Amino acid sequence: MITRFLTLSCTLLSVLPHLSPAEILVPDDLDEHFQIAADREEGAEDFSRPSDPIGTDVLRFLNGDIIHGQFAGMKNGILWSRADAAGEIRFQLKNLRQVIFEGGRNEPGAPLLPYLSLANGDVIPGDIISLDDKNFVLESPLTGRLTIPREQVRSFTPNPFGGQLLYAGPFTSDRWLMVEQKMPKPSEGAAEDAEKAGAEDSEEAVAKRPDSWLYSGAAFYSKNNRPLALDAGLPDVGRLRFTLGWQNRLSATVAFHADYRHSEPLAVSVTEKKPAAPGEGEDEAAEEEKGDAKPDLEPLAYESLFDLRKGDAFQSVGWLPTNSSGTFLQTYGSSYVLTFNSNFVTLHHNIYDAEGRPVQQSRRGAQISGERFVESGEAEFDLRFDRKKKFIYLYVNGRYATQWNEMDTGYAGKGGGIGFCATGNSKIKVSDIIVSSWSGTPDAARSLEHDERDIALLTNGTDRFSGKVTAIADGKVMITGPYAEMAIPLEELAEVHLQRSGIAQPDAVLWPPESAMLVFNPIGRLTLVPAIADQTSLRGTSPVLGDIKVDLTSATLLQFADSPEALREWVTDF
Amino acid sequence: MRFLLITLTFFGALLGSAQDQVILKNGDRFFGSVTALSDGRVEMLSPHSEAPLAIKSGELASLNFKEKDRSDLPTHAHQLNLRNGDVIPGKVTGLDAEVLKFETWFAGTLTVPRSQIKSVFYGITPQRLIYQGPNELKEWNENEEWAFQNGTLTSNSKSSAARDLDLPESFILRFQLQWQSSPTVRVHFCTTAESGPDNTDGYYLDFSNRGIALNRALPPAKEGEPHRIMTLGNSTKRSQDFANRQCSIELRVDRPSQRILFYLDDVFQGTFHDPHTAPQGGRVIFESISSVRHQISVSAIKLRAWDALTQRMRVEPRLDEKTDTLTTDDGDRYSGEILQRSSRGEASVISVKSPLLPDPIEIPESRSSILYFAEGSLPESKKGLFFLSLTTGGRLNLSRIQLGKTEVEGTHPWLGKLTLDRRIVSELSLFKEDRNGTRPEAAKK
Repeated sequence: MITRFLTLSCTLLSVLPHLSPAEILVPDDLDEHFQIAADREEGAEDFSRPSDPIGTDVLRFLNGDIIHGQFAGMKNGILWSRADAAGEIRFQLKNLRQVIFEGGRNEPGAPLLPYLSLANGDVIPGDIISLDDKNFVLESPLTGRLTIPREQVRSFTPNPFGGQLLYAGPFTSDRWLMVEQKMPKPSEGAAEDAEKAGAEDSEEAVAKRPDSWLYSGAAFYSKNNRPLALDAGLPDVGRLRFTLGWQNRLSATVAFHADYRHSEPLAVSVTEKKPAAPGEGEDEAAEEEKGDAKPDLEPLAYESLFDLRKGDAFQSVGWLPTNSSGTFLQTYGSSYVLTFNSNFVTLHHNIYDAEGRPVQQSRRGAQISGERFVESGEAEFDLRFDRKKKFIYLYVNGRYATQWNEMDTGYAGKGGGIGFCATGNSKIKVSDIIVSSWSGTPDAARSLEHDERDIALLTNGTDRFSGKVTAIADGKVMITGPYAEMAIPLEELAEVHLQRSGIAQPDAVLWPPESAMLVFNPIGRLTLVPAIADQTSLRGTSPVLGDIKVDLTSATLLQFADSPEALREWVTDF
Repeated sequence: MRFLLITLTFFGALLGSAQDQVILKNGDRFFGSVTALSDGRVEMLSPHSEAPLAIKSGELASLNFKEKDRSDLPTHAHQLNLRNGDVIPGKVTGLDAEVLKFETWFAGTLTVPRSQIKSVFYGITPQRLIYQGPNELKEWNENEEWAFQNGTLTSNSKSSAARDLDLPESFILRFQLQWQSSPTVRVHFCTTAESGPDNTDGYYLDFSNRGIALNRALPPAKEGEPHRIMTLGNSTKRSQDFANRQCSIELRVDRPSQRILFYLDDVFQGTFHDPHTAPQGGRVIFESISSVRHQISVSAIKLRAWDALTQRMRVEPRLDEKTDTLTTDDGDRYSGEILQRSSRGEASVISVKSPLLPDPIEIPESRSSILYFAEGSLPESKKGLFFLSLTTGGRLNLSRIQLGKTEVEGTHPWLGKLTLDRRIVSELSLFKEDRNGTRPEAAKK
């Protein structure tokens, strides 16, 4: 059995350079066991993922090697099992980059649980039990009851995401679409000729089209200038947050409230005139020559990108006009599109009028300020929108960037879709996408940080109190404000940011080099030194939290090493 | 005879400072001294006519009064914003469950029902007028590349009209631009250059048929290389969008924060950020790019100092119109019901009852930044015929205006008959609504 596994592994590793790294790299003969990037088999109707006999967890190594199987625990290394291998295999931690649990498709935890954000960037979901001048006490589904030093807490969020989390990820590439050009339809004669010549049919040609995006490690990487789309269910009033990474110069588009519907070309709406058989239709032809006949106009026809999707798997869909990259309207339908060029952002308003004519307008642009924004290569974007009140805000790296008011023209975005696309020579990475409702607060994240005051935002989207959070007890937060002592029920608080001067500096805690990071679906991140684990839980030590036992049910990723360099080697063109 | 002499003397005195400008609906414009506005007629003395001109007020598009020296005018630090878009400078002197008392130097104390009030801004600083013109050609151009007539600079060739205005750190530059066939002009500012082409460190507004862009001219990166141009922002407006080939341009420049706010015909176009340290020059240059005679005309240039802090927090949209909200100067917001204004010794406090707190909290008025009032029932909407711009900032919707020597009487649709000190009147224009039913001026806020 071991021999067979090694043979399989060697086969797998040997073909790696030749594969399209769309999602999970597998050799062709293992397709039936794995969920591959795009199941494009003609006639395949059942797109549900088959149970993987090898194992749905993925182990990635620093050198780019990948092994599928089942995480069996940790003890002096990672214990790995495979159906085709006898016993567990132990891999040394020093060579590991990450473990992906259930291919990123594991059961998400409670989406709207309160959470604490720590000074080191960790995020721990759980019910906030109490706070005094020294410690927070949190009841977390990940760890049980935790006592956390107050100076290690940057903020706490009793009611996250404005009440509704609609998407968090990408923990998997499911439901995402790579938007491609339509394949030209061969003429009847050409198709017959191709068949005779044994040529590939158009479906196969589509299947061989190179993928334009790569999914890896909870992020998407662009490989060319084709869009990536998701029916994200953006609400009327909501937020779209994402992190965009870029190489060299930022040049990208981001679409939102896109319905991904485009009208079929007007020429198609006119009934095609079939060539008349000899002797037939002469009268009609004569009438037309006289100019009396009018074309028989059919109702305007639209098609939707998402109607062309087959199943939930990551897949390419032919959508853009043949031999053209498509306009914003042709690509995203009625939508808003932000174009980023270096540190300049412009909003584009795209809509079809009642007669189906395209209306595309550019809104004024704005500079994105911030030190070294362009050179940083990565930024967090936060779009807040209200389709009813017709305004859009953009925040970048926690700072207000600009806003647009669409009251004059009406709101163009009709759908709930989002899209990302690299433009020019740029390559982009998209990660940490969150779609949620929005309470309406206009405060930029950085405006909520103050050196000497704690700042509380309330769920009503209006109230904002500052002062000193002295305690949490019995479901109430005590705030000593400049004008009053306040006891605010936790259910009324959206988020509370603690005074900067009271937060421990990042280098105040020495994190051992063997530290690893656990990422949870939909929200949660824990850094610790892992010691021992079984399939469902992991024990470890944190300089901040002490010895803890972590439930792995909603874990998506166990990251041993920050991997950009390793990933760049793997994705050689990023 | 004696009456005639007195009248002529009076008119003569007025003509000596004839700088009021009348603009009619058909685009005609002329300068003079407005002597009366009543009974549907505007009367003015014009240097072109021996007898006073009488114009039907129905033909009037706007009436710009000569800028007054405001140094002796009282100032107020509060601003009342009514729900009909009116903006009134003054001082809050009382507030209870029903009304706000608002003291003004030009109209006495106004008693305004709360339901008619959108908000009250605290901490308004009046804008100081630094320059008004053009007054003569030599201010701007020593030779004859430009001409001056009736308060208007007109280009004769491809050339620059420049002046060192000693621009302050934060300022508002406003002027009227008119073109004959094509707007081919660049307006340079914050530069030390003598002419437009020499501007290698400053800003310039490029206004042409191709579009309207705000640019930053940057010194060369290396010696011997050409200077660099960076576009900070564009307007979606095109020259064809402006009736009668003219528009007003306003640039609000805040060099410390490297921001420029841009308005066309009083409609906000955008806030543009300069990623570089702002240029420190004090000159303004009008550069005609066209060699066509009389192609470009510039008039009604006003330069004011700008307290950019007045923009603080006032651009935030309001989420909940159903409750009152008090915003403090450190950004905190308390919603609920604003109960009253009370005196506490020499100071005063505003009481707010939040539904989250058992007792009302008292916030010192000195720490208050904005009071927002809940929506309520409004009087039947009656629009006044005119829109009165106030010298110290603000505007009022009025009808039945009677312009006297020292006073202006008019009827406000909600506040009733008002008698205003004439010195507060800066401009009178025909009331216009945009497609959203709001006034263009309101968009500024």
